[in-house]
Amino acid sequence: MGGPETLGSVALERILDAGALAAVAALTSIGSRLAPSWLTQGSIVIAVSAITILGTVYLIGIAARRRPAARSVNAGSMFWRAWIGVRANPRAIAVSSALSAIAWCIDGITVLIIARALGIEFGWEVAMLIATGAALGAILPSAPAAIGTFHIAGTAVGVAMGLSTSTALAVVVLWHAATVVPLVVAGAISTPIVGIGMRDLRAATIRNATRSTGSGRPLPGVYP
Amino acid sequence: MFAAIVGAVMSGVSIWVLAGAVDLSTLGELLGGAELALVGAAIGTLTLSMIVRTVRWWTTSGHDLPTRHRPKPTSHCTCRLRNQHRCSDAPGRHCPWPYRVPPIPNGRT
Repeated sequence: MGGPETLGSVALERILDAGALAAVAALTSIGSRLAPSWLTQGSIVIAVSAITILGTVYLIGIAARRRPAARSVNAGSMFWRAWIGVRANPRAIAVSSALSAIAWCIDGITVLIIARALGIEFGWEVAMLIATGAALGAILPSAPAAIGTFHIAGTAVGVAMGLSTSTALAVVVLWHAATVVPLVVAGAISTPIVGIGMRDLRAATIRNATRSTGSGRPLPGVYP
Repeated sequence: MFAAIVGAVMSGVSIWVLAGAVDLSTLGELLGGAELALVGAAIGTLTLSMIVRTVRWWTTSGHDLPTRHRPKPTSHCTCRLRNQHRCSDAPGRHCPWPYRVPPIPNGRT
């Protein structure tokens, strides 16, 4: 898969994921009597924004397909093919969004288990809102693994749902550690097994970028 | 570079705000008393979540190219993702595990 195609599918997936995340947060906060109004309204705004962005880019993708220039092989057209491909099978959008919502619900269960591990009792809706609130906080620019922004957003939601600051932060810190550490370890173990190293990834990025432009030159920002 | 600086500043400010707002000794006590069996169960749940996310990625990226744009499969190709037509065979190049597939029999796609 070329660089622009990968970027197109990742961008599509991110928007679908953010939309599903905000939808889960909005539905949970509407269903919860504890949720403050700013949380409900904020998640509704994010969900509507994600759907609007998705619709707009989708329409641009359709327009790009109709233009002859878009059929040439360059970085832009390959990016849009990621979106046009979904047009060929819109069911992928529905399936992907549903899988996102399921994944976020599982994350809510993880938060609930972590809270029990710390001896803290709260309902499923609080766990769901902490999970989704922290994940929305991770959208902000931050250091790797969203350290800081993830925690402050999750803590703010926990406090809004009636927890003390220390309790909410303890849940978020342990949940984040339980999420990130196993992934980093699994990545470190699997990359040599699969036979991919940082040098290979860099070489593949440059190769794809050079191929994608069709000009023999790498994309801007990619240096050999 | 600019994004990295903004990210570092945002993370730093967030940590600074949290450090000033929480009782660190209470936080330490809570984290120190965590029941490890339940933390392990949470990691198990995370694995399930990752499996669902992997399927989602496959769902999204599997449709990123219309069928008519895909290259024709070749019968000799042994380095490609299952159900994908793009061939990654190259002389002397290592074929990593998920790409290693048996050749497609002649006449089949």
